[in-house]
Amino acid sequence: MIKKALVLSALLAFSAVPAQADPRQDILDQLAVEASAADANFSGFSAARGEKLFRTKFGTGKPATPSCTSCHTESPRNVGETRAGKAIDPVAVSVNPSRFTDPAKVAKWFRRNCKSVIGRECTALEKGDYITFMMTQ
Amino acid sequence: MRNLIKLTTALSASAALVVGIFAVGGTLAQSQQAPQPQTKSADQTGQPAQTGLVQIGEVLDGQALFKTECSDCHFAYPANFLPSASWQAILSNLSDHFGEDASLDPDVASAIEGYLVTHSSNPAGLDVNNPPLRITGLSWFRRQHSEGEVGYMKRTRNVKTMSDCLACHVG
Repeated sequence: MIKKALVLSALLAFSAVPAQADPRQDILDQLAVEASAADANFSGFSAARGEKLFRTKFGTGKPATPSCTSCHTESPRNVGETRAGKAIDPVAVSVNPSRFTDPAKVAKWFRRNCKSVIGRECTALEKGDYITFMMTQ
Repeated sequence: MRNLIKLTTALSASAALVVGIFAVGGTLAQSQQAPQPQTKSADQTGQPAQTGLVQIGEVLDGQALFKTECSDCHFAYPANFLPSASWQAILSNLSDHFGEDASLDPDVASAIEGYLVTHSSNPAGLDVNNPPLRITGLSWFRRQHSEGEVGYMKRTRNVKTMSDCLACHVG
């Protein structure tokens, strides 16, 4: 009985803890604000659009990197490889939980890689879709 | 496989033996100060944001930024592998860095350039208006890595590029 009460009180204590900081969600929330500002009809991010972005062979950026898969491989759960031969940690959140949790890194790598792959910076919608896709992987 | 040739040993040997225009100017001690990544991992997420935050007092720490930023995609080639004019040319065109966008915040790029230029190797007779950009094209590098060796390594060790020093060397 005492044991049960202890367990119950422990559960209650945990449930009373405020929501943990979720830096990835903060980044997504910020991108949603930007996407809404760019398009009044914005209705949320899409993993399906994110996957399409990940797999599309754009051919509009640098010749050596026509798509995200050029370095990240066909599966986001794989270890990728830079053109100079270094391993790239997986992009899929399930196997690399620290992905998309550092705003400075997220900004830096979207800026660089969107320019390398597409030839322009990505929109907030594209970034949010991409992160949303990687959260399902 | 990866400890085939100790890089610092090879470098000291090349410094002692090679008198090419682009011979490594540094001493063994300098070579050993070169960044020595422990793994091949280009960790793009695992570390706290460094950009703009690595500072000594009010001044950005160019050496620390060089190590973190330049080793994201490749071995952070030691500063004395290239002359100052080469580093300046490379740092001024990071948006098209050997076919990729490797752009950095201007303050960060400037701090890294300052470190690299200070520790660069500047042989006499260098054409500063046409500085070398590719370490793999330098005369000392080509002497150390013959065409036959390049082909052999690419076939047998899955080495895609000779710029991947750590495919064969240890730091």
